[in-house]
Amino acid sequence: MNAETKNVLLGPIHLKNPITLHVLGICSALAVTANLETAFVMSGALTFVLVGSNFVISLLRNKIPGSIRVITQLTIIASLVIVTDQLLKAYLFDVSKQLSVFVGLIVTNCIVMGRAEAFAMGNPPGKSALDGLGNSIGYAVILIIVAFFRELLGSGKLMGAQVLGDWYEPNGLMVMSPGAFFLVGLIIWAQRSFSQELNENE
Amino acid sequence: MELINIFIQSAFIENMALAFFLGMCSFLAVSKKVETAVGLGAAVVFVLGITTPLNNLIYENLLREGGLSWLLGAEKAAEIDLEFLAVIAFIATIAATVQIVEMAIDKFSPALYGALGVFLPLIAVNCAILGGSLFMVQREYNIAESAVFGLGAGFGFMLAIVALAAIREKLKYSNIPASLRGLGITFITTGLMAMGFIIFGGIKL
Amino acid sequence: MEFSNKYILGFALILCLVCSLVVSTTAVLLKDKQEANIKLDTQIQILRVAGLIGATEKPSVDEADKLYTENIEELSVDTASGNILGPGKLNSKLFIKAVKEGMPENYTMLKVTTPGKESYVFLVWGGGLWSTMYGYIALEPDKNTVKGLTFYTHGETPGLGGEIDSDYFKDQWPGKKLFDADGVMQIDVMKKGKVKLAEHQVDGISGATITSVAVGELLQKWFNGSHYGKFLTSEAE
Repeated sequence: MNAETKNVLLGPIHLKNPITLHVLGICSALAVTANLETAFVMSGALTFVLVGSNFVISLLRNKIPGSIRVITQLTIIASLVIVTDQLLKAYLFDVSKQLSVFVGLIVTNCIVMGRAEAFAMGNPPGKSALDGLGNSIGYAVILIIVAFFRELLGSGKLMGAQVLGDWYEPNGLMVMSPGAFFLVGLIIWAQRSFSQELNENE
Repeated sequence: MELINIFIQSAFIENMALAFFLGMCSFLAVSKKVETAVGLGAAVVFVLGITTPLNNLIYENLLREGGLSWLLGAEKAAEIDLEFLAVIAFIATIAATVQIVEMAIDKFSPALYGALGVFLPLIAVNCAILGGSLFMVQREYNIAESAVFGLGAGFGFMLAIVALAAIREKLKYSNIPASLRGLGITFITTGLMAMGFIIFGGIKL
Repeated sequence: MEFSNKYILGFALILCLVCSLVVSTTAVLLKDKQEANIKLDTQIQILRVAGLIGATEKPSVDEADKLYTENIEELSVDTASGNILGPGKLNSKLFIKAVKEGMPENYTMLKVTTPGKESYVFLVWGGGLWSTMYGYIALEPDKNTVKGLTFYTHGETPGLGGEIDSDYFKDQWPGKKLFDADGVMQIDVMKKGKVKLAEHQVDGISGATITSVAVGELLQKWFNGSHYGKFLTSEAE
């Protein structure tokens, strides 16, 4: 892998993480991380849509008229999301029930729109697809970390299997929204303490 | 009354931003100053209040199984199920509504248009708006309930974002560790606010 | 790059065409599989609450269908009198929609005919804290004792209200009686540890008061005189 590919693919994991740096895709990162299984499936769904949309939009980037740019992107993204939703309902029915409206909300997931505008509109398809993949991985990493702690501390389970014994009193706060917010805040703190250059200067 | 319940529920107990995590991106990005937060909040109330009942009409009369009965008669319509087009139809309505609202505001109140700036078009991709329509479908609201739900959800969102902006303005004078400044402390603050809103869950309507 | 209006229109049209083709094709191709999933899910839920399969058993589509058609009768019941009108068809979606306008004149009830495991199964639902909880309740042939209660879909808080799916909550229901000797509705969910009538009351979930209370309330509503209640007090079987 050459240096540039590596940068595009691995950058979003830490230094250019879509969630903790660019403040994109927060909604779903908090909503579907109550347990690991849904976090995994959501990450997979986003990967499919993001790579697909980046690729298609990049293919068409010189042919899209400026006046209908946004709605064109939205149409392509929405179509991909609907296909993903249909596939989930057909092949992963139980999980699709848990994800409910949040798969549909991938359409408005700022990461997808954000990368389409920031990268796919100005880069060739192969590279755009890689960028999509890299950002999906960055997104997945955060989702999995948050889901890991939320499920473990919130219900003593991991992937639905009881891990902590009866001695553990599940922390209800972890499973509800404040727990998710706190966790992401702490992850950001940890990430920036590790790489001081990411700090915001007022 | 049922409608008042829906309003209170969507504004406080099931707050779009704090309970369902919708509209987070603009929530976190626009909450630095109270003024801009109020502007965004007002725009969200407006757009949610219009698009939710509008999408309800589209869903009931076009998309759902048997919805086209007014056009084709109940029997033929019962075989047509266009529910899978919901997402794309809703987002098209939302984008169109936002475009029209933008043009209307520009025509009738250029001052307001200037104040809202770039936030108005950004509302089209705010997950809270699409989320409102998707929840409306999931809960099978009728048109009156959809309108109340849209307004309530928008109002709740506005409440949350203005409150957060007010807190962030005050936080500027605090001594926060470098790595927590900005985004980090905002998340923790939001978490505490979310805890506060959970108390509404104990209200028996 | 300047684009002519003709180009813009043409582009938009082709985009719409391609996207709608892709989306529609996917939807149509997968529709049967999706409906099969929903049907299987519904059948498994009903088979479980009727005690015909274990709580964690997952039969295949054909196995479930066979078990269902061999052991369960779908019957239409007259709401006002509680009399059985004849065979019915369970269509939960239509029924749920109809009830929004008020309880319809008749409804579909399920009768489990397996010897030794006879029971009556009803579709029930009610608003919880975050969501509407939909479930099935099975009653013994005496039309008063609960055989099992299971919620097949809900959006309650995982770890709190979501524990209505847990064994410790579900295991409390078999044997509870809806009505007491005087015919008064007594079934209820109480705050944990505050159960007074052990025959009729169930322990709620700690930290999930609203969800727990909602379960009791929805049962009381569904078995009152204007809903399923008349069947229970009638002579019909």
